[in-house]
Amino acid sequence: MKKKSLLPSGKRLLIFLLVLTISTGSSGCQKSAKKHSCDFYDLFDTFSNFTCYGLDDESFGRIKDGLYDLLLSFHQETDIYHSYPEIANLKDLNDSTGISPLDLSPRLIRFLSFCKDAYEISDGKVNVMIGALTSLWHEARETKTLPDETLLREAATHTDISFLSIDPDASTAYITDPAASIDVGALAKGYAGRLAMEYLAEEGVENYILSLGGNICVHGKPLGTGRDAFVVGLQDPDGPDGTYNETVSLTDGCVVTSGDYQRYFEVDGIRYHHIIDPMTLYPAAYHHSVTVICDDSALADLLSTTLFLMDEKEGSPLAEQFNAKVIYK
Amino acid sequence: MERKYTDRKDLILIICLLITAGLLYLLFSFKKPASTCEIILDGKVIQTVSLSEDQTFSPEGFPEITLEIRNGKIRFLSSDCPDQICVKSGFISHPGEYAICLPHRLMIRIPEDPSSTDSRPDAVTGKAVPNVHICGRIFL
Repeated sequence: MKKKSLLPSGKRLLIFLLVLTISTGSSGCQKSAKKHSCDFYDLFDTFSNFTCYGLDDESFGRIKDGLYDLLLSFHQETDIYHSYPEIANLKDLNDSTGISPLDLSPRLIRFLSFCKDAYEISDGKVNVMIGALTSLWHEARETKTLPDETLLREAATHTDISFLSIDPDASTAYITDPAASIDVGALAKGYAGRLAMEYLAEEGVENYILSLGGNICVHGKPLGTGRDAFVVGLQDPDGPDGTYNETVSLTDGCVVTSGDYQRYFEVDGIRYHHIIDPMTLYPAAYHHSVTVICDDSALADLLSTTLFLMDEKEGSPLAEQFNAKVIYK
Repeated sequence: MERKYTDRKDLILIICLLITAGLLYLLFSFKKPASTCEIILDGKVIQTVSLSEDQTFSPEGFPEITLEIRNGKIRFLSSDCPDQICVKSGFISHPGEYAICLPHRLMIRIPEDPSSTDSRPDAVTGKAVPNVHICGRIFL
């Protein structure tokens, strides 16, 4: 009796190649390309890292300095807690509410216009004029006591997006309600990532990964590691910090996560996290974390917050509209 | 019959390769644990400590912070910072892992071993990244 071959020849070849790849893959004999990495501690009140492959020392030094200057100046412009003598920023805008329009840089005006667009895209869920409300929640987090319900409701009457008036031609902006204030925390880091990627593209930097406090921007691949893409771990919401149970590989794009476990305080055993739903005035409770992967950093940041504030069914058309991949946990 | 013989050879080859792959995997998974930790202030290494000896100590110039080394791992045991994110970060031990006390601009990091085939990702998203509470900003 003629025995049949254990595997059809096509499959056999495939398995052979696969096994060969596994066997040899880990030895990684590729020519190593220089890796540079630097940390930034004073941008957007968080920790950032820029890692770049294939540049010489001098180029990296120049690129890194240029990137830092860009991000620092944008951080200062969007800072709502400090004034800087050289520039007009959003703290100055908050301080001059109801007084007169303020001259701002064209870049900051473009960002504010994006903030207005973000309000439309998110159907009001991402509202930068929420400052009156978030400051109450911030106070609550510091004192670990819940904010007063009537104060929350009163604050909510000063969060209308129309209170932010922008004149792009004159490069000025103005907050018309004296009790309103701007808080761009939901969008500033993401927009900074967009600016950074534009800058790095202009400079011709091909292979890098930039993490602005966990907002990750990627281009190219880690040269010399044998990997064809950068790998981003997704924090396990239930695990210790830095543990991940899923990874995403990408060569061009951005990954942003909004989570309820990152910043929170507890009152009577109940966790109150930092992402406030402008509709309920309280932290949202749909998901533990929402990770968005898409081409643009500003959009990824906007979508991760927006999708965090709605259920999956409501969110999926929005994700589809912007061709974003979403991972809920 | 000749055909069958070839198949057996294939099978033996595949098994050999699988064994090789398995051995290589074991070799890399049993790589020796990282033996040092860098203590970094503002991006500059100010101290390097060995993880082979269990101890509790304060980094140079930071009496308000206590680090603990136990079983080849290191963590922020205590800090006077308001958010305690450094303490909540827990133990780290693998190359490339880090924990930060941002209010003190102090980081502990296990140096990467360039010769190892490191399987850690290039970055982690959604990590509880610290923020500077003195600035009072909340990122939505």
